[in-house]
Amino acid sequence: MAIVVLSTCAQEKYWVYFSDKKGVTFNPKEYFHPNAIERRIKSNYPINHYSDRPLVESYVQEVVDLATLYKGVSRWLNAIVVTASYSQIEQIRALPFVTKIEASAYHSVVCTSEEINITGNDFEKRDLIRFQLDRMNAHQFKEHGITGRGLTIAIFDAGFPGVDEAPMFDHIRARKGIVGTYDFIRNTDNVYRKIEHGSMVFSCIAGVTKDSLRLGVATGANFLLAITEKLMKEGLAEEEAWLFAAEWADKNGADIINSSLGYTRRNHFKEDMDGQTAIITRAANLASAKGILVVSSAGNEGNKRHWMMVAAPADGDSVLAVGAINPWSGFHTNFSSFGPSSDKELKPNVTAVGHVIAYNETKTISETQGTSFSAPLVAGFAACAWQANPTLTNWELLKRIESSGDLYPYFDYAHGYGVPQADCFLSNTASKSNDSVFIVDVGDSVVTISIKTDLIINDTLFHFSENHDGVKNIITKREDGIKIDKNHPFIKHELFYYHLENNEGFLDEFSVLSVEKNPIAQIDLFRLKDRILRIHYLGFTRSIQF
Amino acid sequence: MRIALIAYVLVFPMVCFGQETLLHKKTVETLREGDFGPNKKRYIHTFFKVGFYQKTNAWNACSIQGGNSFTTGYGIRYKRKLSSKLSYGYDLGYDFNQYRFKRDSSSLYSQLNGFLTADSLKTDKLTFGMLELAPYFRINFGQRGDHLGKYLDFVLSGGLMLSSKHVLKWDHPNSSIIKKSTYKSRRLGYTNKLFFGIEIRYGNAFYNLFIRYRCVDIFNSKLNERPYQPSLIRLGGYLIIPD
Repeated sequence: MAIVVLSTCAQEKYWVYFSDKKGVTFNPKEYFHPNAIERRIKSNYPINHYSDRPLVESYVQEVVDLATLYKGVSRWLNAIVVTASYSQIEQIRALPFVTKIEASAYHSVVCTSEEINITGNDFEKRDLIRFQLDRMNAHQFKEHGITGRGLTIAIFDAGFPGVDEAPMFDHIRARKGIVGTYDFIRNTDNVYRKIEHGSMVFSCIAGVTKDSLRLGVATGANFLLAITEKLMKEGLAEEEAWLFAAEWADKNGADIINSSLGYTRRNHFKEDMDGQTAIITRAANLASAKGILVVSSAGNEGNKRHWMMVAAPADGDSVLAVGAINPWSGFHTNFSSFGPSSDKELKPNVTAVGHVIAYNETKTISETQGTSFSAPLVAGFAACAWQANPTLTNWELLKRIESSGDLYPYFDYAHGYGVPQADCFLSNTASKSNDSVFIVDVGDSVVTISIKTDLIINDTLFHFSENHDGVKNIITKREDGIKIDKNHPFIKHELFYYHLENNEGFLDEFSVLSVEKNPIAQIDLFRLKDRILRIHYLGFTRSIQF
Repeated sequence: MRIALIAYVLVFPMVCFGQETLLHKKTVETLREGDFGPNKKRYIHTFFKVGFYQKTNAWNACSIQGGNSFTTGYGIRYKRKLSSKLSYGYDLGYDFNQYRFKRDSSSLYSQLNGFLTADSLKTDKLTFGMLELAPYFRINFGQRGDHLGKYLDFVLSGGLMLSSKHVLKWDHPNSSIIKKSTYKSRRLGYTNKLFFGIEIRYGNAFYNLFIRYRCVDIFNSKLNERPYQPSLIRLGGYLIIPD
């Protein structure tokens, strides 16, 4: 009896979906920013699409009258969010225009920070600032006068304190480059508060230090800043806020959304990371369908045994998921989430430097780490790439960014296609396809892989000498024990990659090796049966079908 | 030698020469969803709890001091999932209890000690520790991932008293010789050893609030002085320590 009474009285949050939008009037030219209409035309997407029309007001009112609390509305999903008891929701379910009701989360958990600050010396800081952009050859954009001008980037995060006054963002404020702000948690325009994670992310897209060092490349873009995350989380409420923010960004003409947020085991199971289940992923896919390029951090779960895989919305098949490499070692950094998505789509799509110099709460700069910061580096990169190639649709741009990766056409579930390269957008750089680099000897029981001797670059990475006259206090060892060359902390390392692709088209396993001497690797033949062995070194890729 | 060779073949099926393997990952490891977790098939976590006994004035002879009469404990909680809404499990832990009595009439101990009176008695404290086993049935609310979420537990608790102590302190009537006297008793024969009760607790992620009703008296029939009637109701909270 008590159970029945309790479950009847318990208030939960629900998504209530409507059947239609009959009789609503909608003028897209009044509703949308001109950029949004232009983007739709370019993407061949209707400017008066059903999903952009408002909900039927009488439907909304009827549901609101029956519910306890009204929490929000989504045009894209043709649904509203309400809090209601079991008996109330049963009444709502009986309404003729209600097609579906989904329970949403309604619990509080404590927000945890993913990033750790490490203080390096000035030499290292300056070199890292250079490297976080140079690893993408992004200086070439600047040399061509490309700064993302004409593009609008929406940043969804937890707060942007200091952006309204810090010198790092002077150049953007001076030209009124912040074209819209909204806090979807507290429903106000003030986003210059709460935790500084959003400010740090912003700096990796467009920040410039007082001595004119650029932390990100899209210094000429316009920005929409939205808070969708709160300190005391309310489960799926943040994902819902993200959806509302995406609709707002779409309305206000955003071309790119940067989301350095990820939702994992608190809200979902691994099987939900299939690109179509999590509400934030569905929202990201819808935004993409409307011509917006959604750039998302892959997640910082790579070293967490309970999860390891990408975090929503990075699982979306039309989302550009960005993983992280370690600038010292040159490959996957241990926290960066692994792919694939649970439906075995390639994730992350690309990678960028994941230990960066960014804005901090004291309005200066410091080192920080996380895929939260590799994603905005790529978001800024994407804005410049789009400015250089304005005829591309968002989907074409995503594919071009993938194919500009320094590993392309090789890929794996730690690096995607590697780090995107700016020169691919500024000239017709052909990818290297010459496979004479490799000597593959198929024996009776093993396959032996060697590299042409003159192409072996004996990387100093793993030959660290204590006698180096390097700069003091440089980190010389990663957490996982890999030694760092302190004379050249940030260089592109040439490593050997291989993976085994099965006949269903996804990878069974992949590996990264240092390159010192031949033979590079021997692989048991029985492991290669019915598989494609794909190997990559120095920009060359070779595939061998077994 | 043969064992070493077999081990080598099993452990290193992919052999690399001269090179250091910097990263090697099998996709199946990333996609594997285990069955252990807050909202998976089974879960186990530790907890700490604190509760306070309800202050009572129901008995003329002996009332309970609310703030000083408390319970605390720690243990492990096992959970087995039946569905997204229902689960069951048990708590196994140690439960420490302290009652502070406030008396306004003669006590049991006046029979043992002629000069102890209600007026001179300053402290009357009973403490005992129990091993506790508490099976529960859980109803979860709301959609969630691998997370404890919000829930309501219906608990049956059983306890075995492991130790007990009764302490009395009073002002000695002849204060020129003795200012204060203390009387401690252990292994009390006038308490029950087995207890059971019912509890309802509300949980929200990492904490619980509970109300428990004890169905067995602390004191048994050997205590012929009945004014002792400790409170049956306690209120408190659990702090959940996730794995």
